[in-house]
Amino acid sequence: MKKIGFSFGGLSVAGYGLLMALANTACGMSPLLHHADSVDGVIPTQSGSANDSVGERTSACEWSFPTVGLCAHHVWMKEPDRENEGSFRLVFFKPDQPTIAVEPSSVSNTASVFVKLWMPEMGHGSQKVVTIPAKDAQGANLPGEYDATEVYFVMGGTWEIHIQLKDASGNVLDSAKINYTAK
Amino acid sequence: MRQFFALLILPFIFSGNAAIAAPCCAGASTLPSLITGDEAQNFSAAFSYGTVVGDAFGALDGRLPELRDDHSNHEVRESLTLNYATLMTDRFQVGASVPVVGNQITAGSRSDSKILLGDVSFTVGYEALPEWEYSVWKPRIFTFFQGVLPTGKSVQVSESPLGTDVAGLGQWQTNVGAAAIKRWSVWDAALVVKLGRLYSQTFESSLNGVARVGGSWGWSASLGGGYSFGDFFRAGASLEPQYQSPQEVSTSVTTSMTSQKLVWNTNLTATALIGSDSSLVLGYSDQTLFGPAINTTLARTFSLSFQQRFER
Repeated sequence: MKKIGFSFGGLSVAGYGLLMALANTACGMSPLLHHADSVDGVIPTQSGSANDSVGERTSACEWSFPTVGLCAHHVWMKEPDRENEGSFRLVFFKPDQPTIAVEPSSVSNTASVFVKLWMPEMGHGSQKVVTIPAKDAQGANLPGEYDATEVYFVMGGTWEIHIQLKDASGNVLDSAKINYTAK
Repeated sequence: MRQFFALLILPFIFSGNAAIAAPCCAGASTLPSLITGDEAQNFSAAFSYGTVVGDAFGALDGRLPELRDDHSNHEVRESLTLNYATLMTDRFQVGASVPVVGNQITAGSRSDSKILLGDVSFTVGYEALPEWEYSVWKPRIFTFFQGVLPTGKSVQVSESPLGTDVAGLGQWQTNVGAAAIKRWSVWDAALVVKLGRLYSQTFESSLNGVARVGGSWGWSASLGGGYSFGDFFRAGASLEPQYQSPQEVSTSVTTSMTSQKLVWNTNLTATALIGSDSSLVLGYSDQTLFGPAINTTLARTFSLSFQQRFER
């Protein structure tokens, strides 16, 4: 039985052992709930699906920034789950040259790339994503590539991954989003 | 008669505290702090312990509710709620409810717990249909107005990645409702309905930036009954759906409509008089037995409530 980190008036220590055990019984019968790991075909068994682009790096224009004339796609370096943070590599490119990374600041007044996680049906976000320029093995910046780290979805469901390109004053030059299903 | 109402009203007090809402979800209870017996004042302290066992997704998500199979994740909600109500005249009364909420969430190697003040509420009640003499069919009816203060920390201003610091909706809220109570010998029944308005609010936090959460409507109802074993024990059950309409949420990044929220609480109670003016209620509330459930976490909650009455 899991230890309770706090209690009110000793009740959770002295008198609530049985109640805690029962309340913790997540395997109790429920006509409403399905097991997340079930294979009955009702619950999607694939976690972490962002459109069709999860896994291999593709040249798909996942995020489109028409104002600055760029696209972006991402590659998960570590996909997050309910227990762990994840991270992904974000690559900007021109739509007609999908294999060449392009630094947003070279084609616009972009000073920073901002990533935000948003759960639209709940109306709230998750923890702050740290976005830094990606570096190669020698520590040199990789133009047009950014690493989004500390990616964590506080709960399962349908999320949006928003990317904003901001100028030095913090004004949003362009923004785009994709959907992501967190298990 | 006095003993009967002492037994009957306690589940109302309990019910309001038993179903603790998810940090991100509607939390209004159907029943406010209200005197429905013959006493002049009453005070109650209710402790509840609940565990989130599943998730119901938004209306557009398309997935059915899921059980949380992963036992490395635990979400525990505790609350201690103090309720007080007093008659101002024979039929007018006022009351207040102060909840203290404790959240403990573990997700793999991450763990955090916090205790915070929840959304404080006050109530003005009026006995619209007293029972001066016994009627086979006519119930006692109480009407009430409830105001909810935004004292609980909202998910919009949460600074905790796990959401352990979320203790309420953080929005002003007003509710109106009515409670009808009737008994026949050892059997009794109660129906409570409540209509509420949640008012728009702008939040600012380092995590979410500025977010404006629009207003929404909500309703809840509770239909239940009970059986009294002699003068000192009662067993009761009730079914309590709670609904909240979608809200528009605007941030610097996006403007979106949330999904509607719907959850069904199944409440079981066992009440015992422990003196002429005191009672204990043991309760169990389950949000996984009836549906549909939409856009909410699903919890099972145990509660223990003590009530002290002060006679006229």
